[in-house]
Amino acid sequence: MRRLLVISFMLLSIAAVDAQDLSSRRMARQSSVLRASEIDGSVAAYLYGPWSSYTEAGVLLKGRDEKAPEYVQEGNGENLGIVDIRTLVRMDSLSAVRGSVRYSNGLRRNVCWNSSSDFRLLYPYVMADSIGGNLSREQYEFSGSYAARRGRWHYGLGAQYRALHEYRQVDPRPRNIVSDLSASASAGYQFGGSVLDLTVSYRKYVQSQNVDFFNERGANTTEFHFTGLGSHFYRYMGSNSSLLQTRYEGEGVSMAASIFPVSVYGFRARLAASSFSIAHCLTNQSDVPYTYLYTRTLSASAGHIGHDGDLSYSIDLYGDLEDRRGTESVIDNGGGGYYAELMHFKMYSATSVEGGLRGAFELARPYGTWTVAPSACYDRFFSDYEYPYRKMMFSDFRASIEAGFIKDWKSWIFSGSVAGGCVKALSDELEIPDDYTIPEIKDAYEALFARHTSDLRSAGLRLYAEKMLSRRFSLGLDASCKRLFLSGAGNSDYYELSISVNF
Amino acid sequence: MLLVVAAGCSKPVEDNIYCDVTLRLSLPGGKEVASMTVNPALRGNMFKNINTGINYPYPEFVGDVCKMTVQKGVYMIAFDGDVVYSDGTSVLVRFTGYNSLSNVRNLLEDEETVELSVIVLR
Amino acid sequence: MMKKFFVLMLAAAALFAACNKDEEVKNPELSVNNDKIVCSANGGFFTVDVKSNIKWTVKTDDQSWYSLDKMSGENDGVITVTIDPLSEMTDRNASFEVFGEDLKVVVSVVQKAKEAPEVTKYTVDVSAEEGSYVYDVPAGYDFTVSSDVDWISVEKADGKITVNVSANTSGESRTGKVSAYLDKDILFAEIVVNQGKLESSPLAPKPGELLIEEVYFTGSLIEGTTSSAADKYIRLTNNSDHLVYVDRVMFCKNYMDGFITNVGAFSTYPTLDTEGIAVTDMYVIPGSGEDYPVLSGESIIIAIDAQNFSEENPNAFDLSKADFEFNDGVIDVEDSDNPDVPDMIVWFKQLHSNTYFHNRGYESYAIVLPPAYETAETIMTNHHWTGTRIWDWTSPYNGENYHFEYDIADEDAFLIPAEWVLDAVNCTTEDTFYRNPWGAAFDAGWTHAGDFDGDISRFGKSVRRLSVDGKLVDTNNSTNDFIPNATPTLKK
Repeated sequence: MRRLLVISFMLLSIAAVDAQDLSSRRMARQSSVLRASEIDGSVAAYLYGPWSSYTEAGVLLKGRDEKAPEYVQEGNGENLGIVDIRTLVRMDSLSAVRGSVRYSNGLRRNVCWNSSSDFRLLYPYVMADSIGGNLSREQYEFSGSYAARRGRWHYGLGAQYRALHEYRQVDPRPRNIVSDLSASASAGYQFGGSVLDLTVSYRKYVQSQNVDFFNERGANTTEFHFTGLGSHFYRYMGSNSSLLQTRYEGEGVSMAASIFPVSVYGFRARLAASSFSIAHCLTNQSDVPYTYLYTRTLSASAGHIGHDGDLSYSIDLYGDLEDRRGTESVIDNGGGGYYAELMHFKMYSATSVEGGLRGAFELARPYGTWTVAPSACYDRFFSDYEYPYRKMMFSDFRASIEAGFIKDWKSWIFSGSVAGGCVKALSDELEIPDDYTIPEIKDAYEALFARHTSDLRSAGLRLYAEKMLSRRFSLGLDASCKRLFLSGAGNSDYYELSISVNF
Repeated sequence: MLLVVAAGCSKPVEDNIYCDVTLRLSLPGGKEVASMTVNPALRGNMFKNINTGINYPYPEFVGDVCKMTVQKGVYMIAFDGDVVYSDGTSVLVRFTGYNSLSNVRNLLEDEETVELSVIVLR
Repeated sequence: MMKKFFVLMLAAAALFAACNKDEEVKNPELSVNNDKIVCSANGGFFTVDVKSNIKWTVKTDDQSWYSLDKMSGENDGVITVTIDPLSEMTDRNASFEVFGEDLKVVVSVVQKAKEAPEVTKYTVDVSAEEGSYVYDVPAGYDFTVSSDVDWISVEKADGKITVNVSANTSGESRTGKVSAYLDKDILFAEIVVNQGKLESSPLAPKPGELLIEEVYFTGSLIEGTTSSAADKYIRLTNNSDHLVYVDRVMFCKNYMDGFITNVGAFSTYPTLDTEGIAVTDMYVIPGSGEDYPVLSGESIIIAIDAQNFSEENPNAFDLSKADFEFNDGVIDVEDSDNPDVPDMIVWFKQLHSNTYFHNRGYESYAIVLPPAYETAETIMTNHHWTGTRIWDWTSPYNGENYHFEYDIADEDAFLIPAEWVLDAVNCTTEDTFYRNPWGAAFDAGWTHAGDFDGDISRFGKSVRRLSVDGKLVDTNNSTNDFIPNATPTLKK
């Protein structure tokens, strides 16, 4: 019985069960084995598992407090409140629509050396200053999709939209508005016991950004237009607001091909690639693009989900590659008030590679289910800047393990897990010249480098409880926390707390 | 299945980012120049990329010519130079032909020659 | 009847007796002792004795230069002849007649003219300033006097010639001649006047000796606002090793724009590298040449308004002790005036408003020393700049090109020769700097207070010249020479 329960849990990567019965979806949410990225990336692949209409509505609190932040550009702390509503409506036995709405509001603390939003998407081409401060943020996310199966074919269309507003009300005052739209289409074919899915996506991204100073005594800092590894676009640095209004405009496409078993068990693989290019333009200077960023990713994974008696497992091998190239424009002197781009050349590159092995094991027992999820990987980051030459490289080995227990008792379901991990720095190299590098910026990069080349350990805890209020409704409470221990640099804490209603 | 998407940019990416520049002096009077030096410590002496802010020091002129390699770009060029003529006399000259954002010199090719018509101060 | 006969007889007898008496008078006589009076040009009194036995009468020839004390007499008498002095150089003659009965005596009067004196000659050197000079000539001569140049006028009096010389603003030494003539074109006196050109004091500053050390054009922030007080000034410093006099030093503003507007409009002008600078507003320190000394290393401050601004604004400065101030009187609004501070003399002002410094740094400044003979009128007449100003603009709104050409002669532009220029500094901001309003030889660079156009942080900052070993640095390039965004020298 319990094995059957587990299997049925394993059928789903997204907890989609008949609205009349939430139990299996509840359990599936706790299962590490079933979190398969192949299916997550498709608009329609979920139709191959058991699913039913559902709605989940929850409130989530997230926070972090980092003594040694991973990226000061994202601040050393954050408190976010999120309202998340997801729903799936089964149209018939072979088609469904899904939708979600997510609203988050919060504060990032002590964001420094970054006045742009979506730092990880846009680095190194962000505006930055040495003072920074807290950054308020408000974000809306919407998504919707339609999927259907017809015989051995499946297809689906979906779209996602994200709107983000980040701002600060003390000098320097960035104000960023992001509009991020994606559209996806999936199609696939079932052959034998496997499903081949192809998904293509298009992304359109726009961010308008400006930094202002309201103090009647003038600006309290200088804004820089970063161009990579401590370099900046000298011409437009300063505190003149007319030079600090920019716009990012980008688009990208991605494609993914996956194979997964119709039933839960079997071989699975995925290959995905994306290309995204974005121009960073000066709004008041004829919208001239002064930098371009080209980001290409390639990821591959292959694995197997299997079982042996009461033991279920998934193992996969994966590799991710991101290649980021940046070009800077030569802008003419703006005679007649019109600024033209004369040429541009590659100046920045960054390549990050990660490859590893991850697994998940679940052992069902009459009293509950034990789970273990180990992982190990190697990752390397290399970045350089053409002239004057700069370089940053670091690599490390990471390993983690999470062990937990799931208990289904009467109308309750409980789960808890503990996790531990370590990062071992392997090699590193930093070369930033003094010439044409603002000393404060160089210090910031050296601090960033020190953070990323430090050994660290982590420990985490997660507790989950859900009560079935009726066959239709359940109430869940999820809490997790994690601490990073950095040698000689203090600790960083992360937490999440959510309350959800499911029906 | 790799997908490479051309960037939505207006110009192709330039391969060679450097320009080999030849600077050639032109003095009134037609006397033969033996050398010229430019003091890099004076802020008004500039061979400055207006976008990157990099300011290149002038190499010593041998005769009326010197060569330097700079990043391609748009430049402000101005200097006071100590010229020594072949007869041993010396003068202080000044060039301000490209000394403001409205008067700049584009150095966009792999090789460029810049004529420097100077005035004699004393 | 007998009585009547008797009376008649008596009468007849008397008559007969009378006749008989007549028959007894001698012949009439009339003569003079001197029938020719000759006198000198000095004139004088002369007597003519008339010897006569009859009545006589005098008749003159009506000339006015002599007179007689009597016009008639009887028997002997003395006629006194008074003769006036003779100033002309020609003898004169007259005569008068003494006549009685049928007798007549003619007395001639001859007055000899003076001898022409030696020509009185002077050769004099006079200063370039306006002046009057009196020269002695022999008295007692009637002469005419004139000059051969229009810058000399003359007046005459007996024994004196006054020569009035106007100021020499020609720029060169000049010579004129005054000539005095007696009648018959006899040269009486000649005065040659050599007038030198107006020269500055030998201790007037030369280029590089008096420098603009500081311009505080932004003003001090008024708390709670984004504007500044009018506590603006310029500091000029004697960078030489000796005393200089700053009389007549002229403070000028640029004519050529150095900036490009925020919509990209700009003007181009004829090239002006070494021959001089083009200015518009001109203000001159008063003084006649040696009234305002400045010791070596010392400074003067010229304030927009010589007021104590710190009383109302703790950020601002006390300029009530400035050395000079700009005072425009009443134009659009009454300009404040500190009566204890000498006013700059306005030689030319383009704008019909009170003098100010542009607080965003759109102006450039120069100090020049015109030659002593130059005036506002001579500069505006002789030093008007000519050429064509071209204004170009490509509209960022509709992409259209606009091109206009203007005759500089119709604009308020004056070309100051290079040799007059003491110092110049160009103030601007990097985002608006388009061209240097001064020629490359005068200021090849630029300096600034504030990092961009409209930078609020510019208030309370000035541009100050670097000093090395106690001497101000001067390479005629304010990029080298000045510290931008500097703390004003008056800030404690």
